[in-house]
Amino acid sequence: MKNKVTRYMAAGMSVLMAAGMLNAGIAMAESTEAGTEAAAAEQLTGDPDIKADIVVGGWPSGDDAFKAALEGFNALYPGINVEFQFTDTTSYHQNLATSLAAGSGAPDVGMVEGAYVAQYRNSTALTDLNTLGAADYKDDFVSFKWDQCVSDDGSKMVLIPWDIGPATLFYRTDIFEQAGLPTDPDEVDKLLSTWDGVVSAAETIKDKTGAWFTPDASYYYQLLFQNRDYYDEDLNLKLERDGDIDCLNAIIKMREEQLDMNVDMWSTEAYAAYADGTIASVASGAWFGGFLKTDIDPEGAGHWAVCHLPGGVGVKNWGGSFLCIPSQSQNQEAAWDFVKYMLCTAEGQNAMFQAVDYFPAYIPAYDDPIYDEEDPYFGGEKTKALWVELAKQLTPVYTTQMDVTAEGQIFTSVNQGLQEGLDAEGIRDLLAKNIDDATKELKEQQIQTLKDAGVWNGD
Amino acid sequence: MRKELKKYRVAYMYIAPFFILFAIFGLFPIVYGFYLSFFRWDGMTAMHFIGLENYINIFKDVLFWRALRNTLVIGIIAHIPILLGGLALAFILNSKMVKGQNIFKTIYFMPMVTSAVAISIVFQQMFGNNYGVINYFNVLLGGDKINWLGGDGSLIKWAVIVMFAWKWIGWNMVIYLAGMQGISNDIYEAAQIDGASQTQVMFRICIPLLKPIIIFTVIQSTIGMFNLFTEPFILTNQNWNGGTNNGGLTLMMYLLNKAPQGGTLYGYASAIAYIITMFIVLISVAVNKGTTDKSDPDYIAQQDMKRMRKERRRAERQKGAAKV
Repeated sequence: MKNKVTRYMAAGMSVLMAAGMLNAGIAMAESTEAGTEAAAAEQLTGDPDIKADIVVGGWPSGDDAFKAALEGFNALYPGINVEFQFTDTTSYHQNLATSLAAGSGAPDVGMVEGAYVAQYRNSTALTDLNTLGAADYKDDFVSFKWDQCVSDDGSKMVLIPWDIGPATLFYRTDIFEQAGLPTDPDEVDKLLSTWDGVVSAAETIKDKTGAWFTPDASYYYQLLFQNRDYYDEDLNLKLERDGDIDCLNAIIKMREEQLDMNVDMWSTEAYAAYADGTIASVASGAWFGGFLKTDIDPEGAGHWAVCHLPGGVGVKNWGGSFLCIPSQSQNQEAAWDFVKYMLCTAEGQNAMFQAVDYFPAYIPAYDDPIYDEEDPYFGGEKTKALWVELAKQLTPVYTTQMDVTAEGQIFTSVNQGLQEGLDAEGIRDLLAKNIDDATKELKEQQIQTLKDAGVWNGD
Repeated sequence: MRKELKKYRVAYMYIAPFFILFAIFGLFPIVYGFYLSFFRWDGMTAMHFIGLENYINIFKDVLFWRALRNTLVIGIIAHIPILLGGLALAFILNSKMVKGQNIFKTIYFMPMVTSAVAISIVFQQMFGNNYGVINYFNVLLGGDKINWLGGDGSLIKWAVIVMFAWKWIGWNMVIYLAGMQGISNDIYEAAQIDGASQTQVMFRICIPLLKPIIIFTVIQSTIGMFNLFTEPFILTNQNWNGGTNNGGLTLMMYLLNKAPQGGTLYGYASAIAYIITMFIVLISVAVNKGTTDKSDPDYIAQQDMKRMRKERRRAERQKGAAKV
């Protein structure tokens, strides 16, 4: 019996591989829109014959997402038995990295957090998903995320995007109303479209209600880099952005006038303040809505709303994860069936989105009527439609292994600069220095990786 | 050699399980880590041999020196309450002035066995800027709010020191107490008959006789100091660089930030691990050497034995050479 399965799988694999290569060839030869239509129209037919036990690994609440979509998956693939091995994000990645290096012990399908994408996409221990047929779906995914999955030498793709986090401002309508400010998202957009507007709104709110406008103003500066495009292809740090000095000046002013609470937005203090109405707004990814609903402020239905990012920052992505299939997996075909159903069908993606608010990176999913629904938690606002609009505007950026470490320097550097009384340029210089210090060895590793890939232009 | 192996086969088999497990889970990682420290490797792509570059880069990294300085500052300041507080508590509990010794022992030992994460979260709340209980009393007593965990980053160390000391005082106390109970009652009684005061008993009897135990605890808490990670990490909201101005960056955090928890720079992290190990060895040796009492009869006897053995060996060698 077991022998038969193995033989079947081997045959299936080779067929699939051939098909994948063929498809890739066709996709390259033909125009792209033809590919899109074909893939979007394609409905997974399932495979009742395939029998396998696969292990899926990740961190919460990914397991809740998969469990929500599992029924639909098993209707198509009744023979595939899925086992979940989930633990916290840090230990999970530690285990995954170790088991990939060791060559055994990895799950058949693994989650990979957005922060690690620049390392994992070059891994030699992960299966090239293009050989399994991933190339067909290229135009179905938000290219911002898809491009991050392709290895630095462009030869393979070992990750596939799951979700994105279109960033928006979450604000409390009750506080805005009390302060005599508009509460309608369009009007709030207009009000906060410049940094001066943000400061004056914050002043009004402080005056009228005593509430802080935001947990820590330094996060406004982080918004400018939220797409994690810190470096160019020669690995030069590019901190100068349109409006960055205005942004920093606004932060300096807000701290002087004590308009921000001066605590990290992820601290327990800030969490308490979101719920009890002492913070009027916070900017974050779409998934933050799920945090608010289930964890931070479950009773807050009706007094939260969502609008564009303040200060003319534009469209940014905050977070989102990927899936991979380790080469050591004995059940690659079944694993790919699982990935394909979960990520490359509207049914799978939307079942998971509704369960845990992971906003799909899969574009055809947005055609579902749920994206036009009003969200009662956000006072009947059509928040999902706003996120879809933002998702479609995201454009690809150049990502590196240093990005996350660089991001980690912003909060501390800006606060250090504010404490030392530096001006806007001074804070920017301080940040540049701190990022250089903190990313030294990572940069060496990144250069090594690029050299190995044969795409390094430096010395 | 072979014959002996055969002769004591059973005995070797009995002790084998430990050595086999140690070889797999202890020795191999230690040796492999040393090997790795000469490579640049992210665990995903090809390994590259780079000689001593990792070690050189570490010594050139300003963050490494900052981490070392923070670790030493935290460790040295915290050792004052740890040593004095531990000794004082142990002495009080041992002097039969208090009842319910066991209850106090348990209470003081509790921080050592409680999860560091749980403790850190509680302390994070206490040191909070706007809602923290410490700032609450500060304002109540007419002071200003102090931004312990933010600000310019210099105050995070104090929060860490408080936690570190609070945790290790109880551990040291229990060990000292055990040591004090090992000191024969005859000595105390003799002192009492001679009319010694409690302070004299403490400084003339207790502490000198406890010296080996004090040295043991100092080495233990020094290792604890180099392993300090969870407390500053949680206090700074899981910031891998120790919060503002790297105020809470410790050596262990610097290591784990590179690999395996905060990143995948395995070679670089291995090199840091070896440097930290060297520090621990150096400090342990220094503590041992620095506290040896040259007038101690035991010490003199030991030195004599060593010298005699050396001489005997030299004599034997000369005899052997003469024969050839």
